[in-house]
Amino acid sequence: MPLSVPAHRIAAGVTYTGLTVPHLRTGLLRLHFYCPHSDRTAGLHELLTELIPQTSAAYPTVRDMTRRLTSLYDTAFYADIEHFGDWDDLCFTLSWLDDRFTGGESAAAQALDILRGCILHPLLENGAFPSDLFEIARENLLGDIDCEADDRRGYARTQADAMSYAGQPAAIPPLGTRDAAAQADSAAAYAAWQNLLQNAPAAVICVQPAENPLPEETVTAVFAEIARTEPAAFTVISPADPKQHPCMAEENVCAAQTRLVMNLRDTGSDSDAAMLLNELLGAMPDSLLLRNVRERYGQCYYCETGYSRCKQMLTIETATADAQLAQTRAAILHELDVLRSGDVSQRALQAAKLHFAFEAAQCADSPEGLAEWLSDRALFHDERTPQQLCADMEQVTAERIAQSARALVFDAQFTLHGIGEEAET
Amino acid sequence: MNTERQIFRETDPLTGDTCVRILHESGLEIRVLEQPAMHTAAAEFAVRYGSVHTAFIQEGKRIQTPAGVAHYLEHKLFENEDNGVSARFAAIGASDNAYTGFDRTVCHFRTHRAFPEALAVLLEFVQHPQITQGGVEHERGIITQEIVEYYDDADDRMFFQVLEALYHACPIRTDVAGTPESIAQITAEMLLQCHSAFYNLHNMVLSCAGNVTAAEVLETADRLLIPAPPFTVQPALPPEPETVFAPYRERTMAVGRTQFSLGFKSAPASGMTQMREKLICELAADLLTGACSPFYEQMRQSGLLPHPLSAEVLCGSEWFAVIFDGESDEPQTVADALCKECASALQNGIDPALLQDLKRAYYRDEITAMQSPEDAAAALTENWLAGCTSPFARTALLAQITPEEICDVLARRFRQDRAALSVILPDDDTDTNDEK
Repeated sequence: MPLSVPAHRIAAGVTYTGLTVPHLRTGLLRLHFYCPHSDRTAGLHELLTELIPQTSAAYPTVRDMTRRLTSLYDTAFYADIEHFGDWDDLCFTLSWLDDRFTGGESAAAQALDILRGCILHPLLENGAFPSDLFEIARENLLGDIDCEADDRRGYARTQADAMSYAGQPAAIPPLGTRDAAAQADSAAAYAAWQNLLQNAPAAVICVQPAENPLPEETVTAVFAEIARTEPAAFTVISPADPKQHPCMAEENVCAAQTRLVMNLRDTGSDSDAAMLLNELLGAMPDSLLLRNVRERYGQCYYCETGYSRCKQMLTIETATADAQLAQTRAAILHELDVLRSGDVSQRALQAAKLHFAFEAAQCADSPEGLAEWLSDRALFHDERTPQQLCADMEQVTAERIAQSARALVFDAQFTLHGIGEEAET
Repeated sequence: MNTERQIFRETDPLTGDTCVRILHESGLEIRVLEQPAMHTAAAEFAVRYGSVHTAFIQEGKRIQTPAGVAHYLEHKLFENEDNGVSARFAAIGASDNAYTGFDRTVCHFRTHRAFPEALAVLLEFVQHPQITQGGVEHERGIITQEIVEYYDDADDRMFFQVLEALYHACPIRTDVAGTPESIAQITAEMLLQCHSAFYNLHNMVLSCAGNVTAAEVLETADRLLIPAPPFTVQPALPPEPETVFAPYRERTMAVGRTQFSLGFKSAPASGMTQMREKLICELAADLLTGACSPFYEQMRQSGLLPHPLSAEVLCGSEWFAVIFDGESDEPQTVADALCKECASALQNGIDPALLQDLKRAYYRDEITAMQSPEDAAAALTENWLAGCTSPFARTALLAQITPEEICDVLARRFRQDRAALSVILPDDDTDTNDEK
């Protein structure tokens, strides 16, 4: 996989990484702006994900913009926010059909022109976003905040994180608070946009099927029109603060099932072993939790783990009948104890390494996978290629897994008790 | 009755993709999309047996099973004498999974290495179930939790509520996994009987894509496929009236916003007709309510729809429905407006320029549908289920669709007197959120 391509600087605090992969059928350009997560800006940035790609001075209604993109072989242009610990990554994605399928028409050139217009010339009214567009976007955001608890699993995770990261930006809900969103106004949203353009560290990733200088030329020209300041170096790695005692909380909800989220803080320094432990314990189809808690004891349907490199936190999630909760929790913790004791079979360890290698290989089969690999590499300052990373994983031993398991400290637990569902009327 | 092997090659003139279609002497149809530039490969072993096949005729006898048998069987296929099937896949670096739909069960894997070995595991465990009554009892708790998990999912409740409103008797109105009560009746003997009836290679397809060759697939298939007797089972779905069961259904749930589904029921179709009508309905739905439509712009400006409606065309041997999902404080107003928009399109015709733009958008979907091995394998299976021999047929169909055909489909498949509205209302009183 040709993933050792270096990033280079195209403006103050802006890097560009380009990759050509001939078998792809679409081109993809991602423009990442990194900014600290805060209650004041979380909602404003969410609003920007709707306001910036939906219109521009050249395409002043949502319908105009959508129609133009549709006619360009469904060129996709959208924004979203991913959270990396205490940092937000506000990412604009542009994806176009390669010229070899468009009968000579360059969708890329026209798509890049639209991107340029949205970034530099958004639709404005008296120096702010038009009030009607802004109000619709804010109503949507308030609705999304009101609906956060609809996703029981996500809600339980957010509540556990709020305890684990208390006092840190990551404790603030992903969309910010309702109060902050309600107070947001159009001028503040535009100021937040200008602040991102001028001051936020940024990275551009472009993956396309054929050599084409246009994407780099376009984004370089965009940033040349912005008075950029040189941002300070930043890191997304900011572990949770240690606690004297684990935090525990629970709530009741009208639901058929109870959700349990446990956060375990990684106090070790072996991140490769921690990532492999995550695979082994609960992130692969034949994980210990699935094999034992689900298959052997029949306690639940899903039981899985995730590892945050930013916060160095292992999260375990499951859902079960409320009456079975204590048993399920005990069965999960037993699997951790087994790992701590060093009882890791070579077969299971090898399966975890192979699963890790599969995921690394799979990223090279899609433009999105490649772009994600390249942006994560830059964000975590981890210059290893997938092959190098897999080779390093091969060196992880059962003893390193055991040490990594012993370095996990119980940090927080949130339980969302299901107390029965609603009836149909 | 097994015939001689037949091999067909078809190349997509647009993408250069070549699909090798093999009618194997065992009875199985094998489809392989060779993608040598890929780093991974995927395979699906699919059977035309899903949640709707609760009743069937076998050797002249009508057999009735409880809801959820196909899904239960999918779970139990993964049981074997040692560590389980997933452990066998994991040991060679493959990731396995499975799903059951209304009309299919699909077991699949993805891998970056050892494809033939992984394919051998797939072919073996699907053909040789090792189901015991003890294992069936054990699985009941897991499947019950899976069923119950969906009870808390508003999207899922809304989906089945609209199907319950649209259909009187068709089994698509029941959850794919059944209910805790229905699965309580399932036994090992019942699962083996259904496996024997439906998991016949004449009723199955093997779809492979990625960095794999047809020769590699055939080498394993030749070794492991067991020739099947003729497939004689007849599904026995209950007769379904043309009318809807109920025009409106609602329930309250602990959700933040009112959600709704509006379904339009129409006559089922099969084979290429089904594929063509489905494609036309998708285009018609986009023309009527998509993000480029005047309807959406008007709904958005008036605050009735925060996002465009999403549309899905659900079709099978005995059902055909177009279902719109959305969020709105006034679902009935949106539903009425949509029906009015449909009537207006029928009277005034549709915008041919917008149709042309949408066809370009759908063209991209066809070009990229097989961009990844996983998507490609799924597309090959879908195509087989639709009864289509060419995996590239949709692109040609798309080019032929006319505004007149859109109007014809609007008149037949978007009828207000065949519509049902399903609403999920938020109930603040029931969302206790008590902190203990």
